[in-house]
Amino acid sequence: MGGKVYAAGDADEAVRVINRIIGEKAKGKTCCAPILLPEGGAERRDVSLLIQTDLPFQGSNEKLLGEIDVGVTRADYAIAETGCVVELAYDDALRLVSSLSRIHIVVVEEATITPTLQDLAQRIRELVTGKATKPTITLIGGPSRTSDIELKSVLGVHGPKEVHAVLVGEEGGSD
Amino acid sequence: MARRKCTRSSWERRGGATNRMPKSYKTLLRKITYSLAHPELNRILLAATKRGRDAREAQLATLVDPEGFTQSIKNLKTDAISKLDYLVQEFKLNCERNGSTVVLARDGREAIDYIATLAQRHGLKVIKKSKSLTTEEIELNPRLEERGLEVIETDLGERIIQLAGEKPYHIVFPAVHKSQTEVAKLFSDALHEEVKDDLQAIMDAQRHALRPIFLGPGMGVTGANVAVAETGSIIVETNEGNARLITSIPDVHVVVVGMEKIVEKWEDALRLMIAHPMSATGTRLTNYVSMMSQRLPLAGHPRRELHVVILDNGRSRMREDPSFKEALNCIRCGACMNICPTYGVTGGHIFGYIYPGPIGIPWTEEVHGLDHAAEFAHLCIACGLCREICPADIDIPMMIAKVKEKDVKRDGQPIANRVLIRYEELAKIASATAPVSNWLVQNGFSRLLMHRFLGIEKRRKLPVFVRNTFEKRFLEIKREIPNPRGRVVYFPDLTVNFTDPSIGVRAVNFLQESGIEVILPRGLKSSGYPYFSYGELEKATKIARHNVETLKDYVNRGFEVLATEPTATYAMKKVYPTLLGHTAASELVASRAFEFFEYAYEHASGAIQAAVIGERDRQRIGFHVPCHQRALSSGRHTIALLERAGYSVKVIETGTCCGMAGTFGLKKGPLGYELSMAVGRQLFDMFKLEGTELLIATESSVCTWQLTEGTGYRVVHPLELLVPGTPA
Repeated sequence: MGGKVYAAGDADEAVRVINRIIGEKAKGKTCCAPILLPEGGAERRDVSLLIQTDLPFQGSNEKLLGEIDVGVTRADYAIAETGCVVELAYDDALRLVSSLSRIHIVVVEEATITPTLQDLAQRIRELVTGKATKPTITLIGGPSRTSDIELKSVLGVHGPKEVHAVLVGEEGGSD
Repeated sequence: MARRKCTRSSWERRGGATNRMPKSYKTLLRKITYSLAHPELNRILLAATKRGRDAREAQLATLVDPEGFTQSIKNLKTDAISKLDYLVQEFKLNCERNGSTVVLARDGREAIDYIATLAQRHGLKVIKKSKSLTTEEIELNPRLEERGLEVIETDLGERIIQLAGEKPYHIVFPAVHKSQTEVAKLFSDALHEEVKDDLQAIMDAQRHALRPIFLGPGMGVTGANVAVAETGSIIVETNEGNARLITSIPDVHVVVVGMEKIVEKWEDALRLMIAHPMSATGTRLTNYVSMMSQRLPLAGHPRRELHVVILDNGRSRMREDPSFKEALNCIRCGACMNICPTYGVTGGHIFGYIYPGPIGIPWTEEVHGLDHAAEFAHLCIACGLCREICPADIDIPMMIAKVKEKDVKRDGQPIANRVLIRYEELAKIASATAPVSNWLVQNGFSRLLMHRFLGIEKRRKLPVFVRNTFEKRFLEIKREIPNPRGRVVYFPDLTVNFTDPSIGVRAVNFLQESGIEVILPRGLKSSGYPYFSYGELEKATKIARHNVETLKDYVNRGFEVLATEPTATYAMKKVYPTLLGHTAASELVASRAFEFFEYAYEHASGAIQAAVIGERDRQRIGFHVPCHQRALSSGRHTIALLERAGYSVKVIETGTCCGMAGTFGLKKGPLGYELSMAVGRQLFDMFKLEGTELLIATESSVCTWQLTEGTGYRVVHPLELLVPGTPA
């Protein structure tokens, strides 16, 4: 759907790929939301501290986030059938990092790729039933787009003009 | 000259044809005339609707089971509407449990009051909106502006419409009629700075201008594409991403959701998520789908509100009305607009009030009233294509016929409809008095009189009536078939009987030679479809009942029913059962009614050998699929048989109607001949591009008249090609 996909073998490679994209593309501030990735066995670590950023995620509101050029977030799932990633937000600041930025870099683990959208039904039900905080779940298919004028497709109306998906899994090593 | 003019106007004053026009027609005729004089306005619309149809078809083809998918959408919507009271309560309960406020608004005024009061209570002056048809329905923007609030639409198409002060032209592409140049001008004026006539420049201007609005104070108002009862969740789909900003930044977010959008489970919601973009734009998924179950904090800041206004505004009443209940199954994809032939040339400002297009007719009647619906209901030419494209399989044509019926009962029919609707009686007289009647019909002066007094277009070439009708010819050719391989009833319909019996003769000869017994029941009437087209449902039902009763006995004895006219088969299969409340007899006849070639392909294709032509003179055939045939076989058996006989066949189509639509194209003026030709123009051009040696084949008699007139080519019934020679 117009997004670019990169494959990274592990968390370290993912960090390198993300930093390279930021280095090449950023024209302004970068903000990175927490990115928990597996690190051998059941352990996970937040790699967002290793990403070149200018604005901390914690405590940044819409005024500060309104100035970002690059936003980096983690998606919880990806759907093969529809070619989209699934973002779970427990604070709207996360949604702003992925929607106010000009360039959105999204990290998704290969193991979370689900064949069809229907597969999400039960997972969504569990996520928003019986919990104190119910996440806002967003499917993101690619850069912001419109065909409202003469049906000509243009990218980057209100949201990102570019989306880069970094796929973290065993078969990484290339882009 | 002056005297003639004077005579004419005094005749009109005394109640001439124009004065007899029901009031709903008058504005409509003026609007169509303007539209037909400015085809450039619809250039982009025609391209848009075509692209919508093509993209949808391509996307649908990627599904494993497209028909099963449509059925699942229909089932889930029907199920949800049937238990809507429960779902509304369930949704409300769960949503409130999640900490949000839910209000049930009986009508637009209650919804508007609530929203305006809420904004005032929070001291907010700006309302930021993402696209919502439901708020258009209640005219939320002007009502809020009257109360001193500033409303800003953030979807590009909606923003263009707002700046232009217009209503949406199409539900998916609200500003599809505006050129890039016009948009650049609108934006330049609104922003008080020059915006270049360049797509990227317009986009940058929009992004730049709206950023401060998104980030600034104000209340967010959105619609909802789906609401999920089991968890009290709201789903908003956008491609631009504006709704993401509107549902996250403002401290107060209001959702206005039509009651019918509530479904029970997430499984249903996810299915609709695929169905919406597939039918609307031919894409797999909308770019951003936001599923919200409660208000989240922003950067840790907690006290933020979500208000859900569930709008009734006539929906509960619709649910109780068996005639219009099905309209609530609409998923607002706009596919019916993309295929509607007359919408395609007139656009949503003529073919619509607030809700445009085919489904807009019943919705407008129910929500905004008959007066507004009648202003465009008669643009429907009953081609039936909207029902075929609808992802929820809604019988839109039947609901439109019911709206027309309400208007006709109140205001009467224009003269041309009153004349043409009695086509069977007229044809009988014309046949009995041929050739005198033909001389009258072809004579310039009498045509002028018919044009003026009966509303029959003088430029339209009318068919020639025969004295020796098919009913008479049948008695001559009928043979006893010993040990028949099959037994059929032939349904000749009007044109075969009175104007072109040779088609029926060829059909009967062909069947008999293949060892099939053919009978023509006494008293069978023609299909009665014009009554349906013009909203005379009581008469249409009477004919349906008569024909079903007549055919039922034969079907019970093992006969199958064949017609060479697609409309006749369509009426038996798709219209009679609904008109008759799905009685056992009507369903029985529907199940045994076939198109002639469908039957011939299965039972008698061996006989086609007779028609084999040499490889060297493979005649090129341009095949036209009539609208009613699209709902049946789309001509696939006919094409296969033509190819087997050695013809080179190419289906030539725009994907919509040729414009004739039964007797519609016979009527004079803008709501008849002129609109009919405007609809057909694209198709005529496609045929003409094929070169003059092309022969056109189609099974519908009225399409034959239209294509003959529009292309100047020879148009034949495929039977003429497959059963050649002069029929005995």
